[in-house]
Amino acid sequence: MKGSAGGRWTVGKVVQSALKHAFLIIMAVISIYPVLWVVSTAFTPGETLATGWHFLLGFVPIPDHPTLDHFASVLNLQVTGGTFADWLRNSLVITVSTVLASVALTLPAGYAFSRRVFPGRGALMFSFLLPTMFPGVVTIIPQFLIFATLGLVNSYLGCIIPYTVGSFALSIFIMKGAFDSVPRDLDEAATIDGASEFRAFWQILIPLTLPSIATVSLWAFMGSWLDFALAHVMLQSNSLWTLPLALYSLITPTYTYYGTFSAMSLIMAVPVFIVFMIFQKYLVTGLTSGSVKG
Amino acid sequence: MILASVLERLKASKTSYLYILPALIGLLFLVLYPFAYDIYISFTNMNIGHIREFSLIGFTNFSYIFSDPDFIVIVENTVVWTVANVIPTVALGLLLALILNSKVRGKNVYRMFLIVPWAMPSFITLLIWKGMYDLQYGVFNKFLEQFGVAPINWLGDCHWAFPAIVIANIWLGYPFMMIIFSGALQSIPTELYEAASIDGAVGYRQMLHITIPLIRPTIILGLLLGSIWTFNNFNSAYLITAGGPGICTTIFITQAYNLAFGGLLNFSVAAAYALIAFVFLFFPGLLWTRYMGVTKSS
Amino acid sequence: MARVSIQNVTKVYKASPAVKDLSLDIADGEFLVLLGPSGCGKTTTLRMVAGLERPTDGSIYIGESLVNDVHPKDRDIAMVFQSYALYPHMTVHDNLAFPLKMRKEPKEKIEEKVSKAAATLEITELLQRRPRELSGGQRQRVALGRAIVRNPKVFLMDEPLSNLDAKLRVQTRVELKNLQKRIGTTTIYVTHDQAEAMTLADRVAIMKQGVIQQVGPPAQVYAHPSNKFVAGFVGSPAMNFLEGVITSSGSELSLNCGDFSFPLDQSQSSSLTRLLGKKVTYGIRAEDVSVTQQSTENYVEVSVFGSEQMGSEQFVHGKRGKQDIVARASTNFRADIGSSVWMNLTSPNGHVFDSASEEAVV
Repeated sequence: MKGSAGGRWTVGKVVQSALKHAFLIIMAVISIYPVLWVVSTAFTPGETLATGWHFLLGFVPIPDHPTLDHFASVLNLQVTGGTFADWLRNSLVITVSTVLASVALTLPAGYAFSRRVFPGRGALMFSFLLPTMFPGVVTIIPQFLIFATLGLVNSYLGCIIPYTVGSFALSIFIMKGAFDSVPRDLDEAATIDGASEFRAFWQILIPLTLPSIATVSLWAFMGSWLDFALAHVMLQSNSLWTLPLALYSLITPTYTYYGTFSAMSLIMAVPVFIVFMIFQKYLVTGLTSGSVKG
Repeated sequence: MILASVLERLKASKTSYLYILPALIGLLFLVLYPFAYDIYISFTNMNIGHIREFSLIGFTNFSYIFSDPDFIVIVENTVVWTVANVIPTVALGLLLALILNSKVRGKNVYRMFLIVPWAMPSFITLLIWKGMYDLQYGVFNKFLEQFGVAPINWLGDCHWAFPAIVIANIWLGYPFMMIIFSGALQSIPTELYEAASIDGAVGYRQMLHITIPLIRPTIILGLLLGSIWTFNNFNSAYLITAGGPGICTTIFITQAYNLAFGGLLNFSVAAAYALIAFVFLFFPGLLWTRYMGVTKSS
Repeated sequence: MARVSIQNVTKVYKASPAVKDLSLDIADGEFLVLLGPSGCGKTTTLRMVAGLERPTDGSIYIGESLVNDVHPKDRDIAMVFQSYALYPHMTVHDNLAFPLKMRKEPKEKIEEKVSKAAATLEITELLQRRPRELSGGQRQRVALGRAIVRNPKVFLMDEPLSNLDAKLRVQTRVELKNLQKRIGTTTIYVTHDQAEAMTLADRVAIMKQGVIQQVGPPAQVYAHPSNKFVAGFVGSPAMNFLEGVITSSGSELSLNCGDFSFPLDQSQSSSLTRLLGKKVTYGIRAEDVSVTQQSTENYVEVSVFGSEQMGSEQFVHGKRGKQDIVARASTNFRADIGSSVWMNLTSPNGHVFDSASEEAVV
């Protein structure tokens, strides 16, 4: 693997490389094949799933008369009180806030669990795992009731807060692990250099754990951007819809607008790729600190 | 005197608690309260007929659940579902991460393709999977036709429905594992690989003796969280087969959903189911966490 | 045990050469030190011998075999890294046993060799600990243990002592030297610390920008540096350098440094007459410069701007115009800052370097 030397291309090396690429290519094809259907549906006129294309190589669906109509309809989507622009804005605000809040809360918590010893440490850490053990579907009702009491239903916070809390289970562990893998010598060196604990945190720990912070951000982003269940319960005005709500509104009991639905799914996937591309840079820095270590 | 020293220790750890406080508050209100509420509900008769006024009915819901002959099957399904999903998902994610961590050209391009299952809303991709499994028009059967193999009734045959949803769910899950493991692999210093090279460990031996032991904590976390999430994973089991045929692909959470929203609107039974599911996860989760030292300090 | 022969090796990274046409023969059992400032190519050379880098050009032989295409694990070498690279998840025992385990040696043999290595390095009590529980010095010995346990043909060491504190470093140096003499394995050692090189080396090779400047036993390199770079790099405090023109008055040659001049030692006249009138660089070590409070003819007057008390001796720093000169004196020599003292720069141990090529003339 990494670091193995001896440079010359031997038969063994060529075979190894070929196998790796073969595997990666197969997995890549498997990864995108179902999505090709989504893409095809998005470009096929009409709102049904069953017709309008022919098959390349027998299996790849290609639309007979490709059209951009669906994409246009997505951008023009409107329901009384709300437009696509509104929903895009809502999603962005909620998602970005969730990411910021998640990072802001999981970093100190991860730090405390990593660097400090205090009574109840293990138990508290375990308790952050509890939410995942509970089937999400059922907690939505009580959550709604709490927010109703607080008057936060139908507001951005009504989504931001639960999304942020939802990210804790994984993120706190990731950050704890990341901080664990930064040797304490560095903290101590910083202290000797006169840095306060806070500065040591900012200037040493954070730069060295960027890959994990990127992972945590990506995770918070995903949990918030694509969520339907909670948003559906929490946001009632059409103007406050997030993109997933608009997406699922295309599925009515009587009719499903598959074409527009597919186009919108693709549009919604674009920011995910953009975010991933940005974070890829951080995920693979090669600095000596990485993701989760127990 | 003991109380005094305990208070002392607590006071000394003041800032530590402070750092965790906001997260803890969130946890308390949004998780633990609903949890408590849910426990309460499961002992009542809250359902469509008694939405606002409901009364405690003791263990009625639970005995209702346990006496259901289907219950055992559902438990079985859920456990098998979890194991059958987590192991391949973690293994695939790990394998992909290892390969992408080695000398391979075009890593970034491959990565972009490999995260697609995770990036797309699973609602639509699962519907596509459903379509691919279709008896007459599905791609999989068309593929089999090419080889002269008889079409498989993926969704209608009990033997095939389960693997069908497992495969779809693995497809959804490996990108995430790949990302987590990629991060962990970054933290291994190159020099260790060089020393290992000189010591005589190359290729898969290096992986066996150096790489994998060093990311063991991540693997354990992946297995743990993967299991917990899969256990309660709703989408894949529901959207493709809706728990059918019969109860072949029903797992805890789809049953809970059916009871809560699927006609009967019996929230209290759903809550009871959720509680049972939780208990199922809590004790193994606790044991696993302690045994593997996930919560140990550095 | 084997000789190592590096022949015309070049290593180029992205159009900038790290090592240029380097040739070096290391005898069997020899302790050779590659010395130079960072970026001079010494570590690259070491890594090429290890097989962690491939030479862009040239050949490397270990023993009689050409090893350019041989994988590190088949070269029968052992390497000690600057950061030790101990396997953090294994005990000390398993760290030491690992190379043997990889070579599929029988269990009893492994135990035997591990105990022996542990005993030699005095780390037997640490065998069940993990690297993170050890001090820097202990880790260093474990790294050494992992190297000797296989009894390879060549030891390669990349600044193994640089992470230790000063006292431990000096102590370990001596132990290392003794160890190598006892075991007798050919060793190539990389460092930027010239004192370390002087103590450890049978021969030292000084490198600058990918090229070997001089190879030879420490004493020889010290007393007869072949160019200005070597002269300035080896020895502490650094050699004094003065620019000047060679002039003559009768049969005597002097160096005219503009502001002042001083006679050159008689023994140097014959070699220097041909450079009459030319600019040269004169080099002289502090221990060859005597200093006195008395104004003396042919000595150079300087103004004291500092002094270093070393315990057994003193180094006096004087300034004349833009020229700094360091002289060695006894500890009770009075060197008040600002006072004038007279330094004698005439010495048969003085070196003269050509101003252009910087090579030694004397």
